[in-house]
Amino acid sequence: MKNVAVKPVKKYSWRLCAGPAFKLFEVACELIIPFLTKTIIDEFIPSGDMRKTLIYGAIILGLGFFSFFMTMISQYYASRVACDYGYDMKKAVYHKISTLSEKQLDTYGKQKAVTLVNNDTFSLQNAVHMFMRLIFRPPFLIGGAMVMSFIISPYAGIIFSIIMVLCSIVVALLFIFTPKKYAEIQSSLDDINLVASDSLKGARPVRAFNKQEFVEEQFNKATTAYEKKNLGMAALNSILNPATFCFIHLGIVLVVYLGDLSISGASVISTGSIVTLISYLVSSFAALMMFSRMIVALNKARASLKRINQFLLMEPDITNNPEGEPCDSDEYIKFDHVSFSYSDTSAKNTLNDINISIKKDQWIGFIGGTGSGKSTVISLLERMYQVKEGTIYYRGLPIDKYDLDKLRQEISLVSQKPSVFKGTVKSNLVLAKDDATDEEIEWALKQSLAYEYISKYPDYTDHEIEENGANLSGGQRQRLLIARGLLKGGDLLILDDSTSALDYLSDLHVRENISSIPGLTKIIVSQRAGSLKDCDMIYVFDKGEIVGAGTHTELLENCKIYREIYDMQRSQ
Amino acid sequence: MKTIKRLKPYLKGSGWLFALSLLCAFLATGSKLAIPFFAGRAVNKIIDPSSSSMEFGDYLIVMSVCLAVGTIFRYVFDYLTAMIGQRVILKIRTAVFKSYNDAPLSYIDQCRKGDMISRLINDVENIQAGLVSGFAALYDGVVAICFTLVFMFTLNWLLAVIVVVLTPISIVVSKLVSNFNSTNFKAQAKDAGILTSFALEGVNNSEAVATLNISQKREEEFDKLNQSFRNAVFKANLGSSLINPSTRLVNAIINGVLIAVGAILVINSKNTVDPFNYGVSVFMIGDLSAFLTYAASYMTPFNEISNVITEISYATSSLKRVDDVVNAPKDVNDGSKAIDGEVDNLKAEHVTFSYDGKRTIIKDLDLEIFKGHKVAFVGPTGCGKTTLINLLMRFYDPQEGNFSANGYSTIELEKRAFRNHIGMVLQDTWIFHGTVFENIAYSKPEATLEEVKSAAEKAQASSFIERLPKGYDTYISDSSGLSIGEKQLICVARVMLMEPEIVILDEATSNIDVRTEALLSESFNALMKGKTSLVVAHRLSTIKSSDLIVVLKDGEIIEMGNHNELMEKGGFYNSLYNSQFN
Repeated sequence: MKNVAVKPVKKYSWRLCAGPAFKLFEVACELIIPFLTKTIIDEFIPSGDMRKTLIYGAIILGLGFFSFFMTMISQYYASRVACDYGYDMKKAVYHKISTLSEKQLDTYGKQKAVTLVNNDTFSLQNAVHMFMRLIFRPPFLIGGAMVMSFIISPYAGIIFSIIMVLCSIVVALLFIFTPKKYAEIQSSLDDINLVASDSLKGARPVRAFNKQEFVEEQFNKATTAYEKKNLGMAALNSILNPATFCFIHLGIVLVVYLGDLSISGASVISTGSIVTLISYLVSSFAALMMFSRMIVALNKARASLKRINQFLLMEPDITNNPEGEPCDSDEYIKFDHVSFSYSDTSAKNTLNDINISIKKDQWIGFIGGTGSGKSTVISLLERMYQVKEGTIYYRGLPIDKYDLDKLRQEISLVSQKPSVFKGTVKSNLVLAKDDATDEEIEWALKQSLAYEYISKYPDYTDHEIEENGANLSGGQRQRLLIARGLLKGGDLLILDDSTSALDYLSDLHVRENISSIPGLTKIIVSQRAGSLKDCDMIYVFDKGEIVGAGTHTELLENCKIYREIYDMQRSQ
Repeated sequence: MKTIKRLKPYLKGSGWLFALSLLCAFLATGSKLAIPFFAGRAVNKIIDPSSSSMEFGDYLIVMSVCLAVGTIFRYVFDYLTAMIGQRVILKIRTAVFKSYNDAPLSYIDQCRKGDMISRLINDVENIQAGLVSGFAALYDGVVAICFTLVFMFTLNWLLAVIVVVLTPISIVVSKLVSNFNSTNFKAQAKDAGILTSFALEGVNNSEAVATLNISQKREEEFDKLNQSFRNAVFKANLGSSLINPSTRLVNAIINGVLIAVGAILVINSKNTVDPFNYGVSVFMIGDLSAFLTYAASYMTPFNEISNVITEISYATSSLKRVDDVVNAPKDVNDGSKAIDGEVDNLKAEHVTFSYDGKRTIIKDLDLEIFKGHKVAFVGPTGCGKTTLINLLMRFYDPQEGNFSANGYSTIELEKRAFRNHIGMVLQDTWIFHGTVFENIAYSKPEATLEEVKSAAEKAQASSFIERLPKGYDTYISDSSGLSIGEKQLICVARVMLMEPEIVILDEATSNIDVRTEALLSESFNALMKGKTSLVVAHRLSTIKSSDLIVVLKDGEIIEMGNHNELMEKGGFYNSLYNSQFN
């Protein structure tokens, strides 16, 4: 698999290398110091040379300061690169979210996508930080110490190497076994997330049905599973410290034993060498511990890396490739034998052989039961999904050849899903039009009757709107959204069941207002036959098919389903 | 101190484990630190065989025993620490979740959901990493320091004093840096919360973002937040990465001084009997070797502690954030009285209410509802219908006036017992992650599959449910692709199953098509027969048969009566009704 998540790192080229390079100086200092100590013990102490002892002491101090400055330079670059990388990753993931189609996001899971933005990118960023700051020190140090040991004595070198190999095996085994466990833990955490956000969103029903215990039990189940998986991981991870401790100290015992050993009358190693070797073993041990801790952290990041990578590699199934010129034909929109299915595998189509023709400035109505396919037609028109068969023409051009940005700019959709953003009334309105003037805003609010309640706010359009418009009623939200749609000023206005929470009188007023706007093509999706009476053309949907098309009077005569709907509403 | 006080309740019950883990750390670290001491003595034995009465081989055996003890107890300690950490996490999460559950709706409506989740997930993880594992590392470090001190003073008090006098510098340095850095971490956590909320909002409204063609604009806004987050992280990062090298510098200085002074001591101890050795009788190379190892490992725990301090400072601000929500306001005025039997009458007296204290939603409202009546609320959008339901359910409490049931003020009644009388379908549909069966049986957990099926049938939901891949066992969630109408039918099925004593329908069928709605109305009529019911609807056809129709406007009752009375009156209701077919 291509590793796109690592790609941005290359951008930082020299800065990326600067961190480890300066680290190298630091390690060199650390390796030289024990060797200087050895000289003091083996030469200056036996000869009682105080002057040289002090000079060497001073050199050791100097190396300490040098090492400090090298480290700080390395740290600076590490932080810089890691933060830039985290920033780039967040940006890339967020950008991907906005390019993927609705279908892709739904399949992937919206909650999961947000976790990518906040959690996974952050753990990757930390990994890069740690990687640059710390990952090179242990290998440099251990490798260097090994070379030095061989210089002291081949026996010492062999002992040192065996010990390090044993330690590395433990570390490697953990490296192999932990990622899978970690992935399980992460998915367990997602479950906790899901239960929690369900019960926060459902705060009212939970209380209304007195279900506090039920959700708590659900939550308990999720957290207990999480605990269990973590403990499994802990049992494995806890091997690391004791095993490495055991091997390193075994090394110390062996080195001391080596000091007592003499081959053909000569000592194998000097006393100074024992001190130096113990010092190497101890600092290598510390380095190895550091390394192991990093591995745990990097493993966490590996799971994140994989997830981000997969996400970034997803190809948006809706792309913008304008081609050809739209012609100014009379036929504004045309559905030509269009079929569609939400799932690629299911044989059952959501829409079957849809034919629609819409002329400019027409007033079109869609009517039909829940799940009959009305809203799906609207989604296809907005290119939220790709059609399965047939073609949609927009301004005479196949819709996927029409500039996507322009298409969405020209269509003002008021969706049935009340998408209100945290901010103010105004900030929500200007989403549709950046440079809307106060007059335009007032006009749109008046047309949608939102003015009725917004004008009562002391702070008028600066009134705060909570997340998801929680401080508005259903009807208030809908009127605000209609105002937003009108403000956008597209050529085509679609009201997708967006007056369902309005009373009939308000509904009527809004429709009257809209019909007086010149040069606007309108599609009204509704459950209410009454709302569509004046349409130039009404399409009747049933089970994904169009079962009737015509004006109100025509349909009353020759469409059974339409008549049923109308009669039912009348009689009730 | 504050931190420990905050953490204390969550450590309850883990006390003996905690004590055990402390004992293990003591044994493991003690044996680990005994090894260099005996190694030094062994080296002395090599240089001068008369330096001690023990054989060289005995030293090797003692060292091996220490090795074994250290290995075993280290494992137990590591595992126990993780275990305690998990127990604490579980307790904290449960407490946070419980607090969310017990909080009044006014609190939940105000909070950013992303931030609430972030506290529950990320902050709790931070606490585990910083305060539990961090604390264990801290303790382990302290034990190591104590043992090292004992061994060092045994070997040579002068060198030991040098070490003890100089090391605090490293503590002071790391303390200064981490204090300075804690504000940076707070800023980082705050920015992270804002960023998450923003992303969550965008994703949840992705359709709107696409159709409004504002994805670019949203990305730009995100970019701004992202940049501010980057800067916050950079500051925090750089600050925390200063700690390590600083302490290491102090260590290097101490090391240099020790080698020089130690070497001089060994030379003096050899050359003279005792004029310049300050009471230290013999100080040999083996002792110096052991001492250098101790000096090095004396510093290591300080390094570890300084590492841990970063995490602890992070965890401390997380703990504060978690503590804030655990101490969130509880749903108050939970009365103690309960209604015996059924609710015979509901009454609102002089009820006045405002969400924000500025704009009054309900104004001095009086109303009486009798058992078995069907009462409908109509009126223009925003007239206060849903708010009235919110107040009756005691999601919110009115500022003035009160509701009463059977003569008891609802504030005196136990909230949950009172809600048990009521079943409701809300305007905002809500489906949780679970099977269709679980979602419907939500209102009646002991329900059988047959009961659930018949409820779904009454709710006209059975036909679409049966078309789902696994029927009633299909897992569904809020974002699993059900239409709003379908979700609404499932919510209706819940109430059909529950058969509550009082039925509340707040725009329960607003997203359901007319044909289905007509079929549903029969089921509703059967459900509400002989029961008290409160219905909010804008389709007046559904409420024509009500015993009482309450017409609201701007939070006040402007008309009241049954359908015929109101039609005859020719007022607001009349024009509202006639507008339906215009």
